[in-house]
Amino acid sequence: MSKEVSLKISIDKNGKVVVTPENTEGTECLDLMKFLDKIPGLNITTTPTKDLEIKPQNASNQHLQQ
Amino acid sequence: MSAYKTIECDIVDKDKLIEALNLLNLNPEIHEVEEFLFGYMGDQRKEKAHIIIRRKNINPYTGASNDIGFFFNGEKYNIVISEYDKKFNMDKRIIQAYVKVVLEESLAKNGFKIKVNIDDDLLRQKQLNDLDIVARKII
Repeated sequence: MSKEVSLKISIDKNGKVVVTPENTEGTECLDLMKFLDKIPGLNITTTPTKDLEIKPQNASNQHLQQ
Repeated sequence: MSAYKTIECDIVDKDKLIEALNLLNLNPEIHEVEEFLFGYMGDQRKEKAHIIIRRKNINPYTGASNDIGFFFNGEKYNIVISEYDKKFNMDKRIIQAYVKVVLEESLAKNGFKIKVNIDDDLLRQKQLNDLDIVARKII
């Protein structure tokens, strides 16, 4: 099923740009914003939010041991 | 929502830089071989640049500017700007316009529809404003 996604982009007075995606998460979100990495001259830092944080490995191991 | 991105910018695209400068009504001169910049008194400075904004075009933003230049070092354009014009955030204003031009084209190429919070006339106001773009797309 199709859906609408959006990128909110703010360029502040110092020329700093922050891109915040909406209605998308995880790898879909990263794929959606991949084109930004290919723009020459823009140095981009990606900051993962909660849904992209890697869960500790021992958490799944504990589950298996139970 | 998941990742967000923070972007810093180097000016690498000549055409986009010229478009951004025209957006701000700065009427850039483009030179194959770098030319001298001039100060607010009409005095020739030792600095040279390939793309030059003459001071009369900057004065509406600042009052008594010196020329601003962009020197191409083979990889990117370095801004040659006086302390006076820096104090009026002319470098930031130009980078903001450049990023706007670059991002808008890239977003459109990737199928996004774009809405900007301020129109181009407001970009040309003396006061520098934050710029917000909302880009939407059906996936």
